[in-house]
Amino acid sequence: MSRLCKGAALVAALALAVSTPSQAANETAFTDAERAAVRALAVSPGHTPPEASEPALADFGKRLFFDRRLSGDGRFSCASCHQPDRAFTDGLALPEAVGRGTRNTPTLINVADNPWFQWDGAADSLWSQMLLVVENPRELANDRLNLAHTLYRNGDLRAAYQRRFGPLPPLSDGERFPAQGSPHAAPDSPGALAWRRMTAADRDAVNRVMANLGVALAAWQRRLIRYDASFDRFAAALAEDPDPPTNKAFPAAARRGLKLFVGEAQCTLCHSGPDFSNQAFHNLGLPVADHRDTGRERGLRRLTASPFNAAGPYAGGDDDAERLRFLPPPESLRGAFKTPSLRNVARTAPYFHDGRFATLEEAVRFYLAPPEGETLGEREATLDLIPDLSDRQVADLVAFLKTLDSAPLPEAVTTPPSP
Amino acid sequence: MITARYLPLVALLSTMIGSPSVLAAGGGDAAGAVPAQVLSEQGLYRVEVRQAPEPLPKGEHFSLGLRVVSMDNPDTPLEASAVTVEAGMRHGRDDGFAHGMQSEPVVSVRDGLILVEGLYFHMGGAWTLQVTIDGDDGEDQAWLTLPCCGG
Ligand code: HEC
Ligand code: HEC
Repeated sequence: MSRLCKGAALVAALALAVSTPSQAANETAFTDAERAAVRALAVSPGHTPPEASEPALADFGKRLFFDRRLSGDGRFSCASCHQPDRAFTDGLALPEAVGRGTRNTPTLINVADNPWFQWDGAADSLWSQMLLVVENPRELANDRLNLAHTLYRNGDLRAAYQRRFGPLPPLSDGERFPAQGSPHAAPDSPGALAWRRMTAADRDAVNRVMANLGVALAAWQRRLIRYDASFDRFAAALAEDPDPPTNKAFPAAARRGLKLFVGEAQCTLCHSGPDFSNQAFHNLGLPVADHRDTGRERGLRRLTASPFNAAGPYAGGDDDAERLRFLPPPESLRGAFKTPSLRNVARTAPYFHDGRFATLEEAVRFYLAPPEGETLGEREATLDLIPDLSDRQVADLVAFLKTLDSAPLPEAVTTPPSP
Repeated sequence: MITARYLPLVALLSTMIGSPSVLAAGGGDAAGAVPAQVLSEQGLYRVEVRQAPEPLPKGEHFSLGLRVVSMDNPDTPLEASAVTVEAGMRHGRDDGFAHGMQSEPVVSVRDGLILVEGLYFHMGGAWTLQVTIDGDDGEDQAWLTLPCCGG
């Protein structure tokens, strides 16, 4: 860390000696246009995490989040990968749980603000995202019948569930509710056959239990909202004064980086809004590492096929089914991944959907030249608008990105529940 | 969510019709207003924007109400089935889009207007709406520059 800072300082000093007019412009007061662009990214300091509208439900969600009984083998919980002390990531390029995952673990801070979930937007609500991870054989590797039985068998879980959602289906009837089974089990496996043999009404009852668990998990994740970064405080000062002083938390390099970010470097074309994401999907022309991962193309197919989408029978009043009428053809977004939030980005290495970049500097350098190698789908030409940047400019952008760490969440939110 | 904020355009029935080439390029830029009307490329049709949210929203679905007439028969609007739309951003290109929308609009008829629902702009700057008209006078295209989004 300190070596990196020294290196950056050296680069900055060298660059200063040969500074070009555009670099000099980054030292001057902010223009009105730049101030407006900064305002669009900032959240007023003092913004606090929302109280849960249903505290008991959020508490149940929190208990589920930290509970290893959610995984098929009882060894992993959501928190195995989304670790509170690492901004709810795992520090790995690809997660290790029941198997090795194929995508990088994203932060969950401010996740409730997103309109689509996962790198490919395969879920259109926070509650339904839970179905994707519970039955993913590389992640929690559970199946919905087994999870329903786990709830039924364990008095603590069962009581908490029934207090909010009413009685569980009669899971003790092993004829109607086999021990294991899911529509996603391998074709013709016992689990797939067991699921198919159930009546439609019983399958629906089990699906409803899953949706309810998702609702509880979502209620808790909605509390993980936190802004209040050094950047937000600088932005508040900038709203008053076009040339506010820098300080240790927001140094001169970060200030130059911010000017680049909203200006010449064009980052806000995609990293826009208070979460630094336009919540859209872009093909950045990455050399392909996993041919099966077609990004948003696959996400759209999974979304439209899922009974848990906003147009399905388990959707709630907050779910937005209207937008499903206007989904684009999946092939048009082959190889596109969601613009990730950059809040807390200094704490969420490695980067990109497959964790291919270890450091922020590598992630930023990626934008300077189209990478070589086979790509999946077509690289979006928007990226041609990003100019070549000097080493000092890259260092400045990185310095700026390091000012996006949120203030800590309240301990009551992040400490695991006592057993 | 579909925004219900329709505001009639003030500059709507501008009587002044400039040369086709000027109008066909579509008025407006990222900071400007939605053009009230444009002529199609070969001058066969006129596309009038009758309803549009003001300003156009970013990161939200919205709709436009269009009226399309043949220049030979300007009193009889064309049916919705004659019209298809696409939108994208040129980012400095002379033609073609650097990228499109991440939404597929749906065209129907409502209150005598051609209603284009499901438009969605995910990036700030100048968007281009391409209206393809296949009417009795032949096929032609019109381009409207739509500013995204507000100030
Ligand atoms: C094995 C590690 C692992 C476990 C366990 C895990 N996740 Fe994740 N989580 C991921 C990865 C990887 C992604 C990205 C998946 C993708 O895009 O395909 C993700 C994505 C998400 C997202 C979407 C975030 C966004 O910005 O789109 C949410 C919400 C989430 N997980 C919540 C949970 C919850 C709740 C649980 C427990 C039920 C859980 N996760 C368990 C690794 C994990
Ligand atoms: C065309 C849209 C677009 C533009 C412009 C853009 N980005 Fe990104 N950015 C993305 C997408 C999409 C990803 C994720 C790509 C993936 O994982 O496949 C990403 C990922 C990142 C990441 C990694 C974040 C993480 O958690 O993995 C960083 C850092 C980043 N961008 C910084 C920048 C900077 C700095 C600029 C300006 C020089 C910029 N981006 C311009 C769309 C864009």
